[in-house]
Amino acid sequence: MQVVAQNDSETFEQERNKVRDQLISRLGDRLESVLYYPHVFPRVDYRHPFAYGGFVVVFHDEVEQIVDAIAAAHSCVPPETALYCLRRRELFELSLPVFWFLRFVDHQMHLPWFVKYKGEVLFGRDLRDEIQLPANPRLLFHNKLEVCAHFLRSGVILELLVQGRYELLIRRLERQMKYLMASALLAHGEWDITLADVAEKFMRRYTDPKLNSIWRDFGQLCERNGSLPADEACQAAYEAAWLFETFLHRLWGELKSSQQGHDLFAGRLSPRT
Amino acid sequence: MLPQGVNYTLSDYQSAVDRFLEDLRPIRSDVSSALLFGSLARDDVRPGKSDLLDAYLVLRSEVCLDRERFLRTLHVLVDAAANLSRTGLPVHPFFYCFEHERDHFHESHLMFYQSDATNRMLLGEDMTARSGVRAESSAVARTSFFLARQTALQLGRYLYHEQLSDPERGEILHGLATVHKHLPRLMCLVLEISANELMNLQELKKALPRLPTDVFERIARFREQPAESNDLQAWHEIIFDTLSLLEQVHLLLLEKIGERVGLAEACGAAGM
Repeated sequence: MQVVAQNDSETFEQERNKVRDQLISRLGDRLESVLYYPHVFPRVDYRHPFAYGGFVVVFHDEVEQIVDAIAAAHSCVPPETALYCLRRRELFELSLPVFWFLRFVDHQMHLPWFVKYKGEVLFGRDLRDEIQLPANPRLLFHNKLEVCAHFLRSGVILELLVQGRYELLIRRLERQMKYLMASALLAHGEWDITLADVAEKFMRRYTDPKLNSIWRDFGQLCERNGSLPADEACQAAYEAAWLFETFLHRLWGELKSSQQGHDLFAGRLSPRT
Repeated sequence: MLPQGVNYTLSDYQSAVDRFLEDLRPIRSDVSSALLFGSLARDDVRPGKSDLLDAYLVLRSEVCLDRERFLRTLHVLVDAAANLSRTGLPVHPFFYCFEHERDHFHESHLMFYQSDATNRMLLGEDMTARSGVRAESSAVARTSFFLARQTALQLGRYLYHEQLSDPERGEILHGLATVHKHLPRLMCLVLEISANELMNLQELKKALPRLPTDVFERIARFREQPAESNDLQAWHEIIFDTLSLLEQVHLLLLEKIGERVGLAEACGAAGM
């Protein structure tokens, strides 16, 4: 299913303002701030302007009955839209890494950068300066590799092959390779990427010819995807799984070599004081 | 959807596992080990409700270096997963990794694999990490509760629904299951408590005396026997109690971390 590009129409602006107005109406003076951030990767495959992006609702530190407030906030955004609800003093939690389901990790990976540098204040105090960036984004690269190794093989590769959804598998793996590239770029502090330019930026940064050739081969599979007869689509899907594994394997190697001489645990996050 | 009128028994589950092992026979030499975890390993299967197959296969590293060998192996794994689907039991695919990745088993899952009380080796040797948990995995494990919690908070939207459709009730039960299955594990990781699924709530209660463990029991009962579809109040109550639990846990954890080492130091140690 196609997702709607966020700047396509006035719909996005109108819908976002509608959410903002509902939040203000329901939460009123319990709100410290409402932020919206754009995201380069759609969180889910559904046709909605907010597929690219999400909301951060920040409550006053002293807010009472926060459970009611959180429930009210969630009732104001469309289902599947990303929404983070925090007190102001808990803003640092946005930047913590998480080992959780694939789509959530993919969305969270760039979250602090996008909120801080591309986010907009829809209501209340501008808290973007208070968003702390991960001091060691290499950890996010490592985490993405682990999440792929654990969740993706079972929940995507095996599941879609069993279901015979070969075209979808190739599309999902292409997207996951881009997520992997994006996480590898994050390890070098490079966060400002788009779906269109992530592969080019990755190849500039990671010059291993094997990585390059895997991606080229995968690109050829993608070009033919959707136009193959059933038996060839099946073969293509298995080939895609193989290319994905070799890509993942090379990236483990890249991570290992890039860690030499680095302190993984430099830097820290702290709550607002 | 399970077939109507079929009464599944524990032996259906055991037969499915036997068939699974039989299906792996063509690649037996490439399977380093296979481990069963989850309800079947804990001997608390709920026939027709528990899903298959909580198993982890470790494949020889050479498999992912040789295209033909990899493709042959993958075909066998897909056939095995397809046969599990044909049992009619609730299923999800099993997990697999390669030997060289054993050192990258995430800490959040090691507590499944390292406990004899909650797992059972099906094939091969002990599959846990050779060199202990990697520092990176530990770091992420210690912070995962905080953002994982945000996914569970989505249940809050249903408090504003004046009626609940079948799919919505399904989503609520899924959300409750996520909290019930994963929250204690994530809490233990924040507090660096090493405890398996059977013991984690007891250990958490020791560390956090104010933890309302009875809510976990209520969630379990509700999952086992959900309220009638028209009993909106009961559905709202369990959601509200779950959200309140999440918030209490969140605050208790922040407080505990703050007590022990100071929050800033804790986050610093988490590598961020």
